[in-house]
Parts: sequence; C-alpha cells; structure tokens
Amino acid sequence: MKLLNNTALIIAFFFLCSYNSFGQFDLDFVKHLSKNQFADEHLAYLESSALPVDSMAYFKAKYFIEYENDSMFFKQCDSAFELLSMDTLFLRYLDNYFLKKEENYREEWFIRRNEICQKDSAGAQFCYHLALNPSLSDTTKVPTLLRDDFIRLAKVYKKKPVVALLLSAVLPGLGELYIGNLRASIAKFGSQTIFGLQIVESIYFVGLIHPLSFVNIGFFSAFYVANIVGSYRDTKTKKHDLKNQFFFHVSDYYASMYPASIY
Amino acid sequence: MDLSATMANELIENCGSEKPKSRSFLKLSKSTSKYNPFTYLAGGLLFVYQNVLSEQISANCNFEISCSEYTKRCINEYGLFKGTLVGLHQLSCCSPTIYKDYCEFQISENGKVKNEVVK
Repeated sequence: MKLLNNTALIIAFFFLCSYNSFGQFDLDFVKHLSKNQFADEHLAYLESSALPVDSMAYFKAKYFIEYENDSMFFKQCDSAFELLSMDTLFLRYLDNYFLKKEENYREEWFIRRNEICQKDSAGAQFCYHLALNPSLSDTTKVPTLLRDDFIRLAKVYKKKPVVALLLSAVLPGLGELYIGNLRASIAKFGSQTIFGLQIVESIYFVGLIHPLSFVNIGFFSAFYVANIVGSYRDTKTKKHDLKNQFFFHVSDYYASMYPASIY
Repeated sequence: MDLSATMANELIENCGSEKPKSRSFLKLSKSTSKYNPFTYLAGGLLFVYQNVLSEQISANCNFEISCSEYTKRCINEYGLFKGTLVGLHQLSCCSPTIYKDYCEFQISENGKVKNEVVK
C-alpha cells in the first residue's frame, strides 16, 4: 500500500512538472521572446503551453505575422476569429501590414477583415475599399495627405488599354501620353520620327528597292508594333503600380497617425 | 595585417562585386522556341552585344535589368515574337528622365527603374 502511495506521488509530481496548464501563460515572457527575435523558442513555448484552441491560434497568428509567414497566419485566423475581433490594435497593425503585401494576400486579408469587422467610414480598411473602384467624386473622403495619390489613381483607373493601343497606332507616343507617361511618349515619338526620316532619306538617295531601305523600314515597323503592344501593357501595369503606391502610402500614413503593434 | 592592406583587400572585394554578372546565352524553357532558328539568331546577337559592344560604347541603361538582358529574358518567357516586341518597347522608353514616369517604389537606390519579366 505504501509503495503504491509513493508511486502515485511520484507520478503526480512528474505530471505537475510536465503539464504546465497549472502554471499561468506568461504574456510578458512571450513579449520578451518576440522582442529579442527568439523565433524557435517562441514557437516552442506556444506549443508547449496548454492554452485553449482559440487562444493558441490567436497567439500563433501573432507569431506568424511577426515572422512574415502569411499563409500560416491565415490557417490560424479562422480559429482565432473572436479574439481577433476584440483586438483592435492588432487589427489596425494587420491592415497596415497587408496593404504592403502581395495582391493575393492583401485581398484574402480584407475579405476576412470584413467578416471580423464591418466596413469603417475611415481608416486603412476604408481606403482599401475606395481604391478598388476609385472615382474622383470620392476624393474628399480620403485624408488630405493621400489625396494626390488617390486622384492620380482615379484618373488612370478610367483609362482603357484598348484606347491606348489605338492611339499608339495613330501616332507613336500618343498612347503613352494618354496614360500620363510624358517622358516615354516623347522618347517614343522622337525615336519613331528618326526612323521615319531615315526611311525618307534612304528612299530619296538609294531608292526603295535597296537593302538599306529594307533595314530602315524593318526597324521602323518593329519599333512601331512594339510601341503599340507596349502602350497596351503599360496601361495595365500603370494602374496596378499606382494602386500599389496608394496602398503603400495609406499603410505608412495610418501607421504614423495611429501607431499599432503586434502585442 | 596592417590597416592599409585590409583596406586594399576590401577595395578589391568591392571592385569584384561591381563587375557585371556573367552574361549567358539564351536558356530556353519553352519547347516551341527550342526549334526556332531565329530565336538562336536573336540570342546570339544579344550575346555578342552584351559581351563585346556594350562595353565598347559604355552602355548605361536606365532600367535595373538592362534592355538587352530584359529582351533576352522576355524571349525566354514569351517566345521570339512577343519577347522581342516587349524588349524593343523598353528600349524605346529608355531615356535618362524615364524614372519620372514611374512610381516612387519602382525606383531603386541607384536611381534606376526596377523592372521584371512578368510570368
């Protein structure tokens, strides 16, 4: 009987030592690990602590954001739904964080963000939704410091790639001018003019049926078609780039105006 | 080792890092491009330009990936026709003030425009 009691006591002792649910989860220690970038120790501590499922997912989500593992963050996001909705500071941090990320992660976050918390009338989330379909009538809703970027985006957003293509076909460089690339349009128009003058010169001096004329016509045609294709592509990429720039500035603006952190 | 020797070594190392990367011939990934002789002709011309001509004329492109390298990568990615057109488009835009047409985040620290071949 005594032996049995001793065994039970030893088992109970080891159980108490190994199972740390009886000890409290130390948030300060997690902050310390986070501050000193102890990534492995941080994850090991979280996994060894016996937190409820949602709390565990919540802290792991913070951990993955800190070490920029976005796909793993989204896996934890669903379980930590309620806790995330209460942590407005972290939500604000996430808004600023994902505005600077790739488009697919950004989209995924703001879809989830809408589920967690409905659209605000101000803030990074609001700016994100405005920039999805920007129009000049919404300019006043954007903070003053971001207005110039928003106006530039709204203006280019209306431009159609097909129109730029057709304009480039009419006059080289006109398509670039249409989307606001003044320097590119001048460079293109200048180069095309030089090639055109070379054709005129070669036809005037050596005639049309001559290798030099063929070479000049070939150069002119190649650059002419390249400019048409390029204008079409540039219109698409410029929209994308201006949107990214706007999001970068929104993120910086809100990060400076309303500082937010992970913990 | 004295200070001057250390500085000299650092200088040699820094000079070494500024050397242009090895400019290889085309590495065609698409099977359709592999059987087109004109692709190899274009690749050969670009190879000769990059290794012989560009150094002679002290070429200094305004894009981070130079126009010739970009054209080569475009030919690898899109094939001969589209690749050449996209490359020529960058070449026709390449002027010293072109960075003013691009967003701030697309300008690198050395003042060149960041560009990449979209896959």
